[in-house]
Amino acid sequence: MIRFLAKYRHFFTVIIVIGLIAGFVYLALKTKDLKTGTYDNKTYSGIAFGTAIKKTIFMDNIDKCDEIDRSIDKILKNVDDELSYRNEASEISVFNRSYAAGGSYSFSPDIMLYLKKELEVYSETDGAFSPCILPLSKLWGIEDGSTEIPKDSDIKEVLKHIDGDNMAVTDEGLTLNDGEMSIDFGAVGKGIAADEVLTGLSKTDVSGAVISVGGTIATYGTKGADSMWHIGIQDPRAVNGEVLGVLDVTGGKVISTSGDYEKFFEVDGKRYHHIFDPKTGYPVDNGLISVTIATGSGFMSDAMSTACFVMGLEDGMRYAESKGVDAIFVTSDKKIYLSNGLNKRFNIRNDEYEIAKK
Amino acid sequence: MKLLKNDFISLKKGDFIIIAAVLLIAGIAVLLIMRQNSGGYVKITSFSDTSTYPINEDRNIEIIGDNGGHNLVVISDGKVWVKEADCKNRICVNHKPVYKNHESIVCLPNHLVVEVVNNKSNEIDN
Repeated sequence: MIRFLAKYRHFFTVIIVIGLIAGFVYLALKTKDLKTGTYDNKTYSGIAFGTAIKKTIFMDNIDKCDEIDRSIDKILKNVDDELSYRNEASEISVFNRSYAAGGSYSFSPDIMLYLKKELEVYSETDGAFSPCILPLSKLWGIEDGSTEIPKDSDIKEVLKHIDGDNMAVTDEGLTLNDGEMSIDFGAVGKGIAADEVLTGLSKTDVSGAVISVGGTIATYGTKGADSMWHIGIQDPRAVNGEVLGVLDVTGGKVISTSGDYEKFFEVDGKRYHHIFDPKTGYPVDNGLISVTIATGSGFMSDAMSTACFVMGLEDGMRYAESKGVDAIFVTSDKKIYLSNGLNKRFNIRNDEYEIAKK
Repeated sequence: MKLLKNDFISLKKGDFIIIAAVLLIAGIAVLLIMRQNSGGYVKITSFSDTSTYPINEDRNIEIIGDNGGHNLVVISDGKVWVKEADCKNRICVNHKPVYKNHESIVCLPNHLVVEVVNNKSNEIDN
């Protein structure tokens, strides 16, 4: 045996050397893999229910991702059917068409809950968030591509019919004290959809996921060794997809942004966007250009990003901090205001902006 | 142990040539695999039609959607963007060129989704 090895010792040495090199290379690659340490994942980009939807799903059994993708679509479709004022058959559409002032109308338990929560935010924000602003948004028509300022007299007329004080929700149902009002879930629909998706995911064996529904982003679980999700926040004054900074959040959060850059038109250099002050009837013009809220409830992050945008920097930030949510306010002079403690989890990516000191 | 030590000392010129040759072949193979991966492709979905194009080959792609909507997608220098569109909101043409894995551009009115699939990892999750 020894003689056999001795005879071919050159050959064996070469094999051993090559084997050692291959082993080192393999180990090096393996270590790199371990460092990245993420589950297998699949991304789905598409359009559904009139909005862009992107889902990245992390799980051990990658073959099941397609099934998860379809189940999320089903959840989104249900929410859209239930809540969209554009769906003529939804409870809310039927109500808007047929209710009489002063009457009490009952809805399915989900919708009753959303209506109650909307009115809560309405009173907490002193009317900055309005559940019944639809007649005003329809008059402006910015979401549908209108580029004209309505007549001031028409705006004043509509203001009479978007007063949330004329709205009451009790256990018996919803009552409107004015016959020309309309209820909609436009400001919170995507957040509610995000909440439903998170609930749906918790019943699966998905390890982690990040789901974007028209700009409202939900994070679920973890993707592996890195326990944070890194969420790019849109630069309000750059092209779409360019980030202002990156917000790190754990799983189970919903991130919503309201900005003057999403849908707008300009007349004589002045910007008219789709977020209205329910008190004036005109687009909010208070120096804010975007507000991002991240918290455990999509309903609240959606409602609060709109409310804080309307309330302005000082009142809005006070409200956000009283609720203990993450908040990023951006002003037209390119300053970024962060809620307490957020500077550790927000990384600025654009030198044109600076983080304002408190 | 004695044997192994002896072996190492007695490595001859020919052995080094063999080792070098094997390493060279392995190196070339690794480079080829990496080049293949760094390519990646662009996936374009218009309504229910999906087509893919290599991201490292420059080209212009005209897309006419089922609704008659028109978009011009450009692939150049390993990046992809929407150069022209007849949609109202202009969100797609006002989107930055994309080139990292799973970055996408969406034109809602024309039901167009442009998505990059490659191995350029993206630090951003959404």
